[in-house]
Amino acid sequence: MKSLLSWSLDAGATVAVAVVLGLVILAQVGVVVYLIVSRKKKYGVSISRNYSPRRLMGVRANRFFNSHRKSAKGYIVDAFIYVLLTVICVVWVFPFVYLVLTSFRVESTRITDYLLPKQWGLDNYIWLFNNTENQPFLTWYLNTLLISLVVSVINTLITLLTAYALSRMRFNGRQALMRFMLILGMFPGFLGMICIYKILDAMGMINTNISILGLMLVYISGTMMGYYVSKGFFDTISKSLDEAAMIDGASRARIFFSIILPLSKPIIIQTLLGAFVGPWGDYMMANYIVGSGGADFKTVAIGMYNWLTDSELPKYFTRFCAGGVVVSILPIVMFFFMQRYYVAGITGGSVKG
Amino acid sequence: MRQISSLEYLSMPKLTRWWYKFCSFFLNIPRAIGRWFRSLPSKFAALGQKIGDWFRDIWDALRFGNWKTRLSALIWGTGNFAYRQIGRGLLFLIYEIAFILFMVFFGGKYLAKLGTLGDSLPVKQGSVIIQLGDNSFDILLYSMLTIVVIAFTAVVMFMSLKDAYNNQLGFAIAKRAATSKDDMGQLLNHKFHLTILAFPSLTLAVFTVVPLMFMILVAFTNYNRNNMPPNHLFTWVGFDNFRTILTGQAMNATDAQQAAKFGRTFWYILGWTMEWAILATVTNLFIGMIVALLINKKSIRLKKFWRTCLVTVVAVPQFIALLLVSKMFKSDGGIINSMLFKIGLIPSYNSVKWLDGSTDMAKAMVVIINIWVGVPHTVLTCTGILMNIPDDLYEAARIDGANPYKMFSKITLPYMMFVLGPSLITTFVGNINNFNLIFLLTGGSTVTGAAQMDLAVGAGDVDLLITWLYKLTVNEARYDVASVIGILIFIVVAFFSLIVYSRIGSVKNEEDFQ
Repeated sequence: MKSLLSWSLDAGATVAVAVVLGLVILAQVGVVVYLIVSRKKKYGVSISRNYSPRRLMGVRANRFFNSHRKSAKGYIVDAFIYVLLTVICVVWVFPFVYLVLTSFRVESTRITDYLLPKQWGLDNYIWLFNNTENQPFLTWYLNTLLISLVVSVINTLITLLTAYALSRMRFNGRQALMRFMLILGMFPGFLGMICIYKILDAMGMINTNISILGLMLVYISGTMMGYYVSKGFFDTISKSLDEAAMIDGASRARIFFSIILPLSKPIIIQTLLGAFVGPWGDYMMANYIVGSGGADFKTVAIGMYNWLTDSELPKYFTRFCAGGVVVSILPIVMFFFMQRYYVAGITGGSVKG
Repeated sequence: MRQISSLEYLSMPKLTRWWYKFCSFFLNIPRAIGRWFRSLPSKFAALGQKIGDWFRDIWDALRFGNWKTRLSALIWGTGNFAYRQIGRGLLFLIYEIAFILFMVFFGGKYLAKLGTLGDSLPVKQGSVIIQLGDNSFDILLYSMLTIVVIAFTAVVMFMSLKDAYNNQLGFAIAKRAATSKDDMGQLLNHKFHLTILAFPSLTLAVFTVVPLMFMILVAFTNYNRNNMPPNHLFTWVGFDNFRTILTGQAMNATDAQQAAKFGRTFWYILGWTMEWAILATVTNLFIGMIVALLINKKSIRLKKFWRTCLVTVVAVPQFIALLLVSKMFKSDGGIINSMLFKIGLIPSYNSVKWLDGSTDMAKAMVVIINIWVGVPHTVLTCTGILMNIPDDLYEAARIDGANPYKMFSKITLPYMMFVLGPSLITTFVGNINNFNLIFLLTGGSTVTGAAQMDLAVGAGDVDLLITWLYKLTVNEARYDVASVIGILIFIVVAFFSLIVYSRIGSVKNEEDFQ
């Protein structure tokens, strides 16, 4: 029995992957078969379908839309699509499965040639929050969290207000401002960094205990140029609402806060998410501003990047994975709760082309 | 291309029609650019007209204004004090005093040296500096700041004069001028845009406009690691840097070899950047569209599950996902190679060098991994679009007897392209500047490929222009070359954006659309 166990662990990746993938595919095929078999029963004679407007209008049911009336060819096509989607999802999720599995591995911190840990444990996670190697992960995490929270709130406010002004108000220089920002946005954002570094240095924000503030300023500075999607969204909200409110004596500010904002939940959430995720995973800007400073002023991206240099990799790989899981949890949770609005927000501003 | 009549067009077979459209799009690009350049004079004329109006307003105010108005051109706020607008008048006056102090003690000093960027080196005794010299960096930076401040001041001055004149005219009619309280109310109402845009504009000016002006000018200097302030001065060199990068010609014989390398490297990297941007955009668009259509097919169930699987990639921070993937594809001991070896597909653990072997392999892998990163974004967007297509369109089509294929090609596809088309250029530009993907996956170079190619400083064989710019700035301190590259990126991006913006109606006819 023992030998069997150790054999299976030694064979590692091959068996494990084969079993996991096999199980996943089996489960998927099972689901597919179940769906195909049960479909007719579920929808075939349902009352709502029988009395649907389409049926009442006497329109012949079409295969493309009324999928419950399918030919054998339809089933085969669907089965094929299910298999394809399964493969796609396995490919897409595999790196994250690997990330999570590796983060629980105890026996070695190196990259290994097998997938499943031989010894499971939380050592890597414990190390993250309690180590003596001057890698204050918790501090980095809190730094990043603070930056992202502040930046996302301020950026969202700026973006929405700018979009509102440009969408609803007509003032001198409006067109010029929009053109100017369009042109400005075509320069690569990193180009000005040397200069920004110097300005922040003059303000005492490089490699000091307020360098986080400097980083926030960098993230906030160009926000105004990202007004485009929100403006598209506001453009689709009817102007007669504004006019009606204005006749009732509401000021522009009041109109924005009590009419436009409540109507634009999707775009608010999309902007918030985008503004949160940007600083959360940024490497390029952050590295230039806090990269060479003390360990306490770094962000997660900078700190963890250094774990994966060729010399450090054997020591830190599993710890990187654990850190990766910890860092990813927050955005993943946010995305899953807000996915619906996010989708609506992406397209809401662009539907009119 | 020969213009054909619409009758001829309609009589063409479908494929020819499509081909005609395709060709005419690309053949029209030069014409569109030509048109744009031809419209320049009229644009300048319009600009001149506006500036002319400005000066005419000033002239009118001075000509028809009373002594209070005229005096307020010199001492700002006079025209406000005279009509008991104390708050406003004080603001103008304080601004004027602050501006004068700024120019005398700070701005003027730097602006005066802008022509030479400083001429006195620091005086040293041994290694200790006993007398500070000019700092070219400070001179250039603060000159830019001063220029922005002067431009803003011109606007304020105009405002103060116009204010005074308006007060005079208004007082003649209404016998009272607006009070501070009125002003405050206006800031939340008809002038709400001023309240809104003040803070963002300030940060934009200080952290984006001034740095960009600075860096654009650096392209015309020799600011690099050999001329680092404060110990050295850098100075204007005209278009030398551009010539070095674009043609590979050096200014003096000693740099010839280096310059030739720069010229070669730039064109190579530009070519790869374009190749990359096109490949990445096209693959993402098509694969994303196909996957979205599959997921959103009416008969497919578990839609949310499939979508969620893909969205994980969007949610996980890029630096984690990409660094992890780069380690998975490591040639010695990476999990992918290990698994392929165990299954028996490859003869040894390190026989496939995914990302650090040949240049072509690394490029192909980068494009493939980009599909992994980018497709979920496209799927999300497409899902939103598909949900937004009104059902009555399909209803109507069905009543007219359209088959599914017809409905797809005549409703779904045009609708998707209509929305995705404009966003395509954003994606394209985003890919030109896709720092994360290239840098985190490959670091910009494969070991063997870069050595073979003998590229210029900082450049690797998989580098995009943006990562080369980054390395030149951070590692090599070749700021002069870096900013030339930045400007060239701008030109490339502007070129493509111009084509698209000139063709999108919603940008042109904003008012019609609303």
